[in-house]
Amino acid sequence: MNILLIEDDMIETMKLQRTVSKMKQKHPIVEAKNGEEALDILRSDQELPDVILLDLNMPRMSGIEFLKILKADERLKYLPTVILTTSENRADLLECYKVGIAGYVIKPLKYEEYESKLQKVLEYWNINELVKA
Amino acid sequence: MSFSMENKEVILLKKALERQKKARIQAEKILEEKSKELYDITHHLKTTNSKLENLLNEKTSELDGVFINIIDPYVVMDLKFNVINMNLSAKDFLGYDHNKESLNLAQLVHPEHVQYTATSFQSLLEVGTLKNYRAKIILRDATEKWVQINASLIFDAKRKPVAAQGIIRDITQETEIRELLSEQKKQLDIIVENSPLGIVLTVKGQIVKANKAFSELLGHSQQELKEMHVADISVPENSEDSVLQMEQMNRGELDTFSVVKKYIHKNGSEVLAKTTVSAVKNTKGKVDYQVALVEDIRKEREAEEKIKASENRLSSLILNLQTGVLLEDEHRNISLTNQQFCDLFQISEAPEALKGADCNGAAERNKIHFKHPEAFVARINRVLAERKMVLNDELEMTDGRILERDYIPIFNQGVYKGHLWTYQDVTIRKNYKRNLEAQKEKYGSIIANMNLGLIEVDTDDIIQMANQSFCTMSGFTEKELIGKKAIKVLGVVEQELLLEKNQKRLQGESDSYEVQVANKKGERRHWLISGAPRYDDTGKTVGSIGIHLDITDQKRLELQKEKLLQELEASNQGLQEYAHIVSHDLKSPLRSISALASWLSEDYKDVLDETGVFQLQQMQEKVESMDRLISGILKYSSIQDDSSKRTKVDVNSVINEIREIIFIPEHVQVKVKDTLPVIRADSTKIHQLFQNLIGNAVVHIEKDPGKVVISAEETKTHWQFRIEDNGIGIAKEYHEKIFKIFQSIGNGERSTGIGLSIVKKIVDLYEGTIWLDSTVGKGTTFYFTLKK
Repeated sequence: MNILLIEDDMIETMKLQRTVSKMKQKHPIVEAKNGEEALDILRSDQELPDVILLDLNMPRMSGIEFLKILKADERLKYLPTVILTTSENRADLLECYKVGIAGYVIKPLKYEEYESKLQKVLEYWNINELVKA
Repeated sequence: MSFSMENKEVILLKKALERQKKARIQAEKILEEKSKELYDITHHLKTTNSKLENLLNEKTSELDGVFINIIDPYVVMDLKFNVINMNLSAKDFLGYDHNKESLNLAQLVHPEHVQYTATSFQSLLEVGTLKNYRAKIILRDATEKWVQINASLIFDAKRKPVAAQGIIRDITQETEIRELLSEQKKQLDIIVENSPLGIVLTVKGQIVKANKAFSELLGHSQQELKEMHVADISVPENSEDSVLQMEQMNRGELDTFSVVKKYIHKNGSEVLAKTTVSAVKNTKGKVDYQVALVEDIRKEREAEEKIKASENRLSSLILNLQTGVLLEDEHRNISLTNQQFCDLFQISEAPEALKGADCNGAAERNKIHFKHPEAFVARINRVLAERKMVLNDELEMTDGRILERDYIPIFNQGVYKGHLWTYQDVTIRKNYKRNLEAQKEKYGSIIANMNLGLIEVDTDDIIQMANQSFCTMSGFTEKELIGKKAIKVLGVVEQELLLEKNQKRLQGESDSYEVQVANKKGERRHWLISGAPRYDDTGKTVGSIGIHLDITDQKRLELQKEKLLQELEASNQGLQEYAHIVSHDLKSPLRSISALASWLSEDYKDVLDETGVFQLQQMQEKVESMDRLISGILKYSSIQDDSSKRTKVDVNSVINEIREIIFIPEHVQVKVKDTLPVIRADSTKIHQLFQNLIGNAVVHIEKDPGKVVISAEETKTHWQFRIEDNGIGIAKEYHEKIFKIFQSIGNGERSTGIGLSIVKKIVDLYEGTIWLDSTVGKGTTFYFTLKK
């Protein structure tokens, strides 16, 4: 399962890499530092990811802005996108679900909890039938 | 001298001779003449004789048939109407004198009678006499006179007519009288024939003449009637009386009498008729004729009965009228009065009993009932003297009643026959009117002095009335407003709204609305208008009344307030956003630190000694408490009133949920005393509220068993909750401090100092208060109220 991680924080990226590396199944992770970079990747000749993990709080283009562009794109709108965020802002949550997301995960404080949560998310999506564009 | 004498004698002699000669010649001539004369005389005598004979004839003729009356005009004329002789009387009458001028009588004849005159003259010539020639002539002074002439011819000796003589009689007056008489007779005949009354002329009961009306009344022709006797066609209603009266009349004791008689129609039916019989006497006082006037009174009787019935109705109406009625005759005796009149003046007699009573002095007797007795009497006397209709005289009575009096004089053919007084008790009406006037005045002065602008418009929105306040409000004078279209003169912005409202008024609806107008200076003003339909007396909508309040200042404040609220909301929104961003930005590094610390202890566990591990643990704990603090601040800042989120919240369920999610030490029990209420609130906030208080309580109990008891009671406006514990207690000096943010008094590591601040903020939001009783070492009781 190919994962596109859109995250500006290096440590967060490390957290995901570490989490995925511990899993039995290997999931290649493509990293994008921000929305623009992610869109470049998605619109390149590269194979499309199966799942997108998206941080909401990013400089320049925010997560929600990226999500809106994604969902407005005829080709990309089918990609399941799971939000990874520290924001408990209810307004953000509602807005994301409205635009269309495949999950909304609040980053816990403790890494152990993060690992457990993320593994579950990835396992869940792994057992799902994916779009495979 | 002798010579001369002789000479003279000779001369004389000569002269005498001469004279003798001459005389002889003369004598001879005379003789000759005389013999001629003699002849002539003989002839003359003959002629004279003949003349005398003629004269005699004339005289005879003149005397013949002459009724010589020297007073009457007498005229002799030739056969060509030229007057030969006329007497003084004739001269006087005709105004002509034949001695002075020639007079032709034919020329005096009135043109109407010329033909008649010619015929009459012809007859005179033929017969020799003319009697009773009557014609109009025209006199010298142009007056017309009727004359009657009796004339005869005058013949000469040879019995040849040579002249005519006549006596003229002035019959002008006579003729006029005759004409008048004939005219009168004609008129009389017309009257008689056309009279609706039957007229019958009888002689001792025998009908001599009957008119058309009588003939029609009985169905007999006038001819048939002439052969009838009165007895044949009539039966007296009261025969004895009738007979007696008839006898009296025949004896000349009675000239006229009236009876109601039954006549018998040709078809056998009876006809009731009033008959008035009058005697027509001759000059000797003997009765010649009887004239009967016969009047069909069937209809009259019917009408009489109808009148009687209607009179009865009228009098019963009057008797029962709610108006007091007093009818007095010309002598001021009561003809009619009614019960209402007696009631009004507290007269104990029945109205019938008052009939005939004299009213002179009544005013004087009754004046005591009136507030102004002397004025009352004076007024009555004046009204009676003037005999002119007086309406609506107002009388105040001593008992407080007010009467209204009308006076109506009654005249029959210009003759005063009495008068009618009517009295009406108008106390109620009057008082009502007075009240109405007082009310009107009251409201009128309110309207005039109120600070609300008032206008009245008609159905076309034309201003009919505007009060002072309205003028002040709009800046226009009353003159500038009245007659103008309100929408236009006031520059209403919401014209369509106003038209719609005017339509509503027509449908009888009232309501209030706001409009923007421009005052005279062109300044935009906001007005609140309360409009209602205007009705006329008949209830028809004739426009609307509007009460106007200038709400520009309020409106401005309102707008300002709205703007402020919006700003506040935006600022709150921003603040919340900000809190979220700050919390995210603070939390993210914490997560990184935490992850790095975890990885350190995990990846280098073989390298780290015990102190290193402990320090990494301490680091993790600090990071956790920092995270809690950030969450707390975020929660605190998120507490906002949002009434849309208020629902029914069962506080019992809230407590049960809290029991499940918070950490409660083994030795502590959370109890609910009685049942807690269901309140209307935002469930999340109520949750936060109780969670913080109970959470605080349970962790600060050292006693075993520990107890937290929750109870509630209802006051008029609030719910009052009480959370009692037997924990460590809070020292008095902290009772206020604890509610302030970041003021933690606990030394426990879990305490952020935000919990009670959140509690306080929520209580404030629900317009309640929070306070506590506490004794250190014994326990604490928190009380708080929430507005219902």
